Amino acid sequence: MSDKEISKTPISYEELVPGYEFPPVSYELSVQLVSKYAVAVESSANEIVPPLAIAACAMNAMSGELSLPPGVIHASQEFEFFKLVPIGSVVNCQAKVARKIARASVHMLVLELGVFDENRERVQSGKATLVLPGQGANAH
Amino acid sequence: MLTEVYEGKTLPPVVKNITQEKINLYAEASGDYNPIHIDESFAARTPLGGTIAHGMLVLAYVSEMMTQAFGLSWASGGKLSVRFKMPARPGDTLTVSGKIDSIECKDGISYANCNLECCNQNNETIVSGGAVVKLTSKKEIVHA
Repeated sequence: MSDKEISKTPISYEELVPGYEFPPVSYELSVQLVSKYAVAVESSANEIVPPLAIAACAMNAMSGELSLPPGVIHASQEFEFFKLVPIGSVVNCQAKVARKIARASVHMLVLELGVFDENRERVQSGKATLVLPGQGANAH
Repeated sequence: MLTEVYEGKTLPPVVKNITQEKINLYAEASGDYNPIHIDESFAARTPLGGTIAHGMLVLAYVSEMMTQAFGLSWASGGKLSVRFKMPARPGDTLTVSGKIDSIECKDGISYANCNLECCNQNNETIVSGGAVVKLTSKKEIVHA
């Protein structure tokens, strides 16, 4: 999970506004990275990168640009896969804030992700809804 | 991979045991070191009461089932939409299951609409949702 092109001070949840676009991040889906992922999920990857591996890398690449409190959990997830990605490919991840939702002590963040290959063709898109910890979790 | 695709067809399930070691491995592989997944003392003090598996780890199992059923069609033309109903915890045995609800044709292309669920050993739903797969081979579709 390296090869990030951009490294700067992460933006916090409080600073985010709907429509905010994170700096795009490129990374290589190397043999080592994909193999490590395949071992972790007890799966196999031959020549094609598992789509969820691409998604996991994209989310991790983006997380370097975003500072969220510890204890964030996933509420829902959408993905759409458009094309196969060979191992060794370099992909570019773009993400933006779709929504920020605050209800009582519950804060949620909806992020949209797009992953593109070297030909700028869309590989996959996704939408993640994250729930930030409430006062109870934040207190720790 | 499924040899026949038809409405009502059950997808071969995927069964996985969740352990803290597997969660830690996934944290290393994905770079997601959120302490709710890997720090037992932190997680114990949250409302969740203990560590939980990454949602994306559970989705990897869902994706494995879809890949086993539909092969490369899943990775090149699949859509997934799920909700996380409750956390998967170390010690859980997860069963991912699914069924083809319907097959529809749009602009000459067939799509399988699937119902998906991931349950723990107590039959509690961890993840539920749906998936759509573009079917690349017309030969595999069996019409009622």
